[in-house]
Amino acid sequence: MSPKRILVIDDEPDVVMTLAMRLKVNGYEIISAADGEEGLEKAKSGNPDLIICDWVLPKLDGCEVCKRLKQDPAYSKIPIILCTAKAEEKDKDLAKESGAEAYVTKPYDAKNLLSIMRDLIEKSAS
Amino acid sequence: MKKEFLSTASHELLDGLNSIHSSVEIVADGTLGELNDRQKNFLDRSMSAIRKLGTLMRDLSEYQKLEADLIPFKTERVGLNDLVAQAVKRFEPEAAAKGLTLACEMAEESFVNADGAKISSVLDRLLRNAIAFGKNSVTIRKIEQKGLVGVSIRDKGCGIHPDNLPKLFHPFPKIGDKTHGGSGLGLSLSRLIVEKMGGRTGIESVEGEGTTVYFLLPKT
Repeated sequence: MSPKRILVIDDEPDVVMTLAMRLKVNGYEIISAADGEEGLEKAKSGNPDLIICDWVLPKLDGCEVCKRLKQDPAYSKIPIILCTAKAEEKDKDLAKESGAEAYVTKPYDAKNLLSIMRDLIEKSAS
Repeated sequence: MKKEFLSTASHELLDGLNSIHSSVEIVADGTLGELNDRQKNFLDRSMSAIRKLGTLMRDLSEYQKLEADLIPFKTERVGLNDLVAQAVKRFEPEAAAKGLTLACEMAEESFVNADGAKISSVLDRLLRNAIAFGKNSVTIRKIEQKGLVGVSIRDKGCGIHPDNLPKLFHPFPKIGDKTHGGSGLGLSLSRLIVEKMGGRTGIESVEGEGTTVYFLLPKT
């Protein structure tokens, strides 16, 4: 079975690098984007199985990336995990409204993130 | 302008800290290769300091927003028993790891006009403190006073000197013990949240016997 491909959209190179390393060790293939517009483009061209998207991004924020993908029937089924250093309830509500399948706060709890990823990829495949 | 500046500054600080967190963590947890005990010990210390800084930054940001009335409250009729039961469930593993039992004595359900999520955040902070400083058991009890109803949390820790009690609901009370890893803002944040919902907080303590912290909210 070919490895699942994860698109990481984040403008912090250190976060992308460490997340990419962790995901590679766990058998995933990684593609990345450093802003919302590039993220949207790679979500459409890169054929990812799941997207991990930061909230605060240059050009287009994570919620908007999420909304646009969920409105497009060709890409609406790709599960999205929205991530942010924000941790307020109103943000959780906004994340839900954007259509993201999961919302996690930074810093990532690696075990929790991997478990959410596995669940979402399994669900989307069934 | 000032509000936006502070909000952006705190977000930038957290972003930077998250970068440090992810870099140190991936080495500390052995993902990049096995560590010897001394290396692991120093990286674990770094991780613990990073987590503490993160909590402090988030608490500072919340405190500033609460004081400036920038955090909305969704006030509705909520039952205290449910919120307490959920909080106890969240903290049972942490209490058990410290050899503590959580005793819940809430009796029949009481309803308050408040924001349920905010009450939960107060319960979390008070329980975390009680577990950090307590011994043997922590008791969570329903209390009532003149049209108000609330929850008290009693620990059997070493207690607090009477001179220090009035300082506790203020930011950074500095009364000694820095080992429990709190931000120094937990009780003052709890007081602010409860007062914004029309309630009040209090603390009673006997040195050598333990401490009871409580909050009361308007009954529906």
